[in-house]
Amino acid sequence: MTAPKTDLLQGTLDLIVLKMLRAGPANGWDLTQSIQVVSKGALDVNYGSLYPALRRLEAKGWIKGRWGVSENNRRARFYDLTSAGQKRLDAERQAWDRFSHALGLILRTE
Amino acid sequence: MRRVLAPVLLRLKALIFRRASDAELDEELRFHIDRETDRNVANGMAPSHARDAARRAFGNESVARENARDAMRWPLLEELLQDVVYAIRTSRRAPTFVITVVGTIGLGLGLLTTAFTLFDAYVLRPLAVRDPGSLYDISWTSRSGQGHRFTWVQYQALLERNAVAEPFAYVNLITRMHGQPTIGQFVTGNYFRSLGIGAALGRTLQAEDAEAPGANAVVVLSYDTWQSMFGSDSGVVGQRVALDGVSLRIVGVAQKGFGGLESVPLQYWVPVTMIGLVDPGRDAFGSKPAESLRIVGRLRPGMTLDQAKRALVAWVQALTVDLAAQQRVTDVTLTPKGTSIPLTTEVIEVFSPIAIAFLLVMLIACANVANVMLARGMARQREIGIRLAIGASRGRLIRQLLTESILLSLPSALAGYLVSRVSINLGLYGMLAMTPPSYRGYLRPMPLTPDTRIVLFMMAAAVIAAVVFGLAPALQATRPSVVHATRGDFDSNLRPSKMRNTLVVAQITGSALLLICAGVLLRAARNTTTLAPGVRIHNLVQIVLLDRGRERAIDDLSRVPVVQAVASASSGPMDAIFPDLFAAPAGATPIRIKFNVVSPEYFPALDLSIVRGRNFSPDEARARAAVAVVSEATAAALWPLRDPVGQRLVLSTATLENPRIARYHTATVVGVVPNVRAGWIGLPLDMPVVYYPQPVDAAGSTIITRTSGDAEQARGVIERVLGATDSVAVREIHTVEASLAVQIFPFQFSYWIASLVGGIALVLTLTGVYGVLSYLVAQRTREFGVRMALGASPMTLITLVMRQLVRLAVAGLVIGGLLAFGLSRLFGSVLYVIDTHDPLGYAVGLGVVFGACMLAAYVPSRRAATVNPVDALRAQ
Repeated sequence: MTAPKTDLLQGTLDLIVLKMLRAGPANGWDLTQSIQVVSKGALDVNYGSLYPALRRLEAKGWIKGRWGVSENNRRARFYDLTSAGQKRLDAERQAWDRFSHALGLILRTE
Repeated sequence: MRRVLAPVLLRLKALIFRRASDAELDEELRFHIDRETDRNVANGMAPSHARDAARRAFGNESVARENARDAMRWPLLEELLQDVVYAIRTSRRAPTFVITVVGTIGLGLGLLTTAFTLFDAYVLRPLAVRDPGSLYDISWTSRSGQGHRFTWVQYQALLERNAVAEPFAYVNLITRMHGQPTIGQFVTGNYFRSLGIGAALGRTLQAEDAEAPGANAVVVLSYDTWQSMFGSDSGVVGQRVALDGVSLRIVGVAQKGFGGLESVPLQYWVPVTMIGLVDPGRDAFGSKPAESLRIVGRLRPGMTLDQAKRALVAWVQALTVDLAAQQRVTDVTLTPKGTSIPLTTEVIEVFSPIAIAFLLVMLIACANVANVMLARGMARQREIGIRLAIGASRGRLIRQLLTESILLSLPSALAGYLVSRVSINLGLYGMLAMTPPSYRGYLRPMPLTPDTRIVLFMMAAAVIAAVVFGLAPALQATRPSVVHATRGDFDSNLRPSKMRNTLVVAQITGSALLLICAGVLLRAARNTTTLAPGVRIHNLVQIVLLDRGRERAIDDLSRVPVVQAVASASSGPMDAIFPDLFAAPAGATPIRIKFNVVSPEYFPALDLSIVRGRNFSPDEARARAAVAVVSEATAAALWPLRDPVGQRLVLSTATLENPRIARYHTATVVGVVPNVRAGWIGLPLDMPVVYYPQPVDAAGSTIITRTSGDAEQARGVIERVLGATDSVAVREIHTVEASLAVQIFPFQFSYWIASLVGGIALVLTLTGVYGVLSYLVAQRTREFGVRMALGASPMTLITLVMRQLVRLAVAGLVIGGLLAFGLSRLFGSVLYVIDTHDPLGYAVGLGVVFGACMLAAYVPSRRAATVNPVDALRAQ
């Protein structure tokens, strides 16, 4: 892991979790692994803030937790994206695209 | 809905099953650490290090757990629960404090609720009929200023006119049913259908019942009357009852809770076509119909009040087009009929002084509790200081203190509810007990049962009170800086005295205001009882007879041994205000004069001596000749420099609308009698009165008999004798003394209420003053000890403490006095009988408050004077 690490922007963790869950249900640990893999190790999720984020998203009704069995045959809590979460993800994504596009324009001007 | 609800349910689940939810979180975190450990092992780490590495990678586990918990639940709600538990625990340690607060607020709130219950029952509660908001009562005024109702023909015309929807008409009548005074209505056939009222038993009245005059002798009873007078007899339909001797068949019982649209619950309904048989004087049918019908209609949907009014004015214009100019319509009045008393500015003017008085008591109670809370806050400085020091935010502490006061307000609301129920029942009982027996049957208050509005009002008032008495002390108590608190120094930078002084001044102001009211009303009540009515009132019995049996009854009366004289009058001497007429000598501007049409026996029976001229002769009485006897005030107003006897008194054209006196158009004055109060004790003695002659058996007049011995006993004898020949001849029979007592009663009652309210306010203020001064004295014990040690005498210390209060008391009394003066200017128009600037009333009110405050201050100041300097200095 030689790539420089980037700190997470405030509020982007929710977006990342929603995006990851779109691929299918996952438990907390799976999520941390896939975030690292997908971001090629550039993003390091603080595990301590992942679990509060999961609870917050669940309380908002965007994801739904249930007990299932992990690949190592243990009881683990899996999360599914709800339809409300799906909508939220689309909205957040568009907002992010607009924002990053605008920021890119500003940063590119000399 | 599910989507909105699901997150709430989730949180609620987390809140209720806290343990299970926490266990789930723990398991989830454990799984994460285990999985991480497994991976570390798989990556070749030694098992002993693998777990520690996983822990390190995770970071602070307990912070994550706390954050996850907060994200899941409502932290505010949990804090609230904590506060509630804490408040209950602390209040259990201070039962006297809780009892004081609950008792004080309960008392204030109870009185306020009593006033609100009355207001609610009469003004706010919509009548239980279909669409009460669209109902309006219709009346019209002619150019001469005379108010008018309608005849049957006019009502029929309105039905065709379509100006208002579903108009119905009725006449209110007090009659006797089974010998008891009853209040009922003679209504048109569409009355029940229009109001959407069904029958509990049998049927209500229908259109066919009120088609031809005198045809359908039927009656519908109210549910309450069916219960109280007929014992809820299910076989009542088909039975007959006599209403002033007219036999009617009961066809049904109206649905429960319906009592008409008036401010008195009605007891029966009869077709309006029967009115002529029961009361010929108010027969709206026939060739000479009386304008006795009240009409109520509904505003058409989409029509404004103004449009309806314009349509009605046009209609009445068409009705009166043939009449003399003075008798044509100027205006139509539409009064809302949705509640038993319409919410008009006049009603608000009458109710608001009462509301203010009761609100003041509530505020004084709140001020008292605020003071107690303030003192308690000071006592809890150490606790609060420590909590601030270990990191509690001020907002959190204020929230906690407010939770405590709101929690206290709930039992206070319950206590208030009990107080209001007790005071309402005592009030009703007192009113009944104070009413002369022969008048009790007419006392029919609206049901004063509590409803949702009252419960909501109490809850709102209790919570507002809690915030009022709790917020200021909470702000004050949480002000100390952490530095001072930890040092244990709580006095130096706290200045709660300003707030305390303001509260005491406000309390004294409020009590002064209320006791001035009580003082003024006491004087008014005393005045009315000592006022001379101007006529004899002892040994007089007045009887309202039915015209059917009148001649026979008068004949019988003359043979009753206790009856010394029998007279008749259109208005009883102390029954109700005499009606007005406008008259003057020919050519002069007419003045307002009260009139009474009397038989020649009237003057001697009432001890009214003829001071000039002569009484009516029997011939003049029989012929109703155009002659008049005037009071001295009338003579002085119309003929100040001349002998009134022989002068002519001419009625104004407007007055001629009144058929009862039209025949006295130009009357010759034959005599002068002393001044009397024109039918009501509240009227000035020098109000002009004129008398016209009538025979003793004139229809529609009141019989006045002079009796020997006790009037109340004579009343019983007369009622028995007249009842023996004709059981329904007498409609009403009272002693004149009882009528006068009924007139004085409202003055006495309002004085009692004011005294009671003022007294409670005073007691609350006294406890407040006493508590504050006791607290101050206790706080300054060290200072007093030093002063004593330096040679101050006990007297100096007493004056020192007293002077502090005198300053506050004088401020409160001055503000209270000025407020009373200002308010009396505002409400003086309503209380026109009462001298609202009565100096003695003010003096009494202010004096009582001042004296009581001094008394309350003396006890704590004595305590200051008996401080033992050695103990006081050692105690610190």
